[in-house]
Amino acid sequence: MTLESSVRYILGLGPAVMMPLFITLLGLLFRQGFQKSFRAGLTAGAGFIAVGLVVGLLVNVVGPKAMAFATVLGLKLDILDVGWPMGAAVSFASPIAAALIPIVLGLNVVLVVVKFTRTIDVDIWNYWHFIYTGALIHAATQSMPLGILGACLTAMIIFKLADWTAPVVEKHFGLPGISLPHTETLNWAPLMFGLERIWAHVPGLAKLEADPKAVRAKLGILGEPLFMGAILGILLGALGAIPLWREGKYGAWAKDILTLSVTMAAVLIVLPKMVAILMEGLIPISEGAREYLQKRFPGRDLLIGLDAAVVIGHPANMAIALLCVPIMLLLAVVLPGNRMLPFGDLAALPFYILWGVAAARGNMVRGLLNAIVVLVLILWIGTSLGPLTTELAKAAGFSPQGMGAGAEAYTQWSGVALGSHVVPWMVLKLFQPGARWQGVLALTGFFGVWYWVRRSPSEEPVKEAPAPAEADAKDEAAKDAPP
Amino acid sequence: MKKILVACGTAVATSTVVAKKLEEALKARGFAVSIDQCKASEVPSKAAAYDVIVSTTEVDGTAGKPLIRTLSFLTGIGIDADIEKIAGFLK
Repeated sequence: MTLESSVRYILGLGPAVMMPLFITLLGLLFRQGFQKSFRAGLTAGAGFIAVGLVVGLLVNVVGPKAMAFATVLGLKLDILDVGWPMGAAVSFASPIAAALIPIVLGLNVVLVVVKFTRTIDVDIWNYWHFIYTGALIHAATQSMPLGILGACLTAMIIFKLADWTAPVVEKHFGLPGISLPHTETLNWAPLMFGLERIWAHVPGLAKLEADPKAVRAKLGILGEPLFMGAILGILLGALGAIPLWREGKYGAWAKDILTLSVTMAAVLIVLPKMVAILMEGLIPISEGAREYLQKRFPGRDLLIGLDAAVVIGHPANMAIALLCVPIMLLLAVVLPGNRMLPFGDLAALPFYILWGVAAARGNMVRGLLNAIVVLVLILWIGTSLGPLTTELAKAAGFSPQGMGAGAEAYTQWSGVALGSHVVPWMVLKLFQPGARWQGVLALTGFFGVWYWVRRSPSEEPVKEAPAPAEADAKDEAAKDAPP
Repeated sequence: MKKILVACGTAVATSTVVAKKLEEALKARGFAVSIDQCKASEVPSKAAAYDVIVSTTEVDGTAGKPLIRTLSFLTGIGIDADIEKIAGFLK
């Protein structure tokens, strides 16, 4: 056996076998002992198999049935939002994952040593955002080094954004010493602070406010994945089964709708539980990495980088996310250029809109406006990432093909979470042959806005309505005054 | 058997870390517990069936059950104090 063919054989074993192998190795690297590391690796492999079982439901039932409504209505919605759990699973399954975990960690150490960043990112689980970036670039360019470079570039931008927004995490969310280097949420921050600058010029807008409690009391049930899936199933099922109704098959019509309803509820509660098994397998690496990082820098004034999950429970954030569920579905239907049907991540919307609401310092009205801008961009970016994401899913053995009836209606996978990867998308474009100018343009705009609002997160939070008129006036005066 | 509900944004990431560490630590202290995970948005409707709620993010109502909001399991700082606090509610 030549070296090349043995490498190909090992990679060909598939993620369920590769993951236990690379997690055991990483566990040993972080001195977690063989038994603990091997148990973790095997757990992750089992989690991966478990995810695969739920994929069967997605592929055979939810996908074709949910997407059938698009055909009935004559819409071009052929990309299914499979949700962030699938994005994470596909990323950890990609061949670049094993290399990127230690590389990004090492990069983090170096960047802290040279004082480029104050954030030590102990949230190894969400390294999947960086891995996804690398995997996308790898798939687009067939170059592993470019994939790694792109992932590192993304990580550097995210660490900087995490430092920059730490004052908001401390003052608005009340968590001192914490930053949130969570790519898919944090990369919205500059744009959101930019929008706040614009809203400040709209007369009367600063004084508007709504009560998050009232929204949650009325719509709270929508935030529970079980009910969200069931309601969505009834809505999409009723539309998709219109042909049966026309044929007069009322019994079959009702059965179709109810089956889809329960199945969609099932996917939304089962898939996260399966991914949690995979997550459990990453705990020893995550622990080892955290100890390693914290041991290196005792006593320095550093920020511990955590998952944005620790702040999404903010009342205004949860309330706006509920309002966003129907808005996003409506946008998916009416937005020109969108081909993605939101589904898997509808229960995770509190994440993607997080910085829209945080930039508005919890103001419901401006928070919602910011969130809607995020939703629109997510649909476009999610649509744009469809082909490459589908390719990654196929490589992981989760093929959205061969689905039988209804398959023609839906051909690709993407996700709301994946569409929320703004920085990774820009970096991908930068490396993608023929699309470089888009990457250059987007990144220039991104850094331009960031520079424009560079002082926003450290400014004192504007008081809740109806007081902010004074603060806004001061802000405007400062900007208009000659230097 | 006491029941603990661990909540976070997704019921996947941070709550898994908290649940696993808590299970180990409480077992070591001789408590028999069963731990479930859920999303922060599910706490108000699920809390009634549990003795203690532990969350890494803000939750909206716990049906009168004691709530411990903690990041210590994620940052590694102050874990023991939080475990003591949780153990206190189980006695």
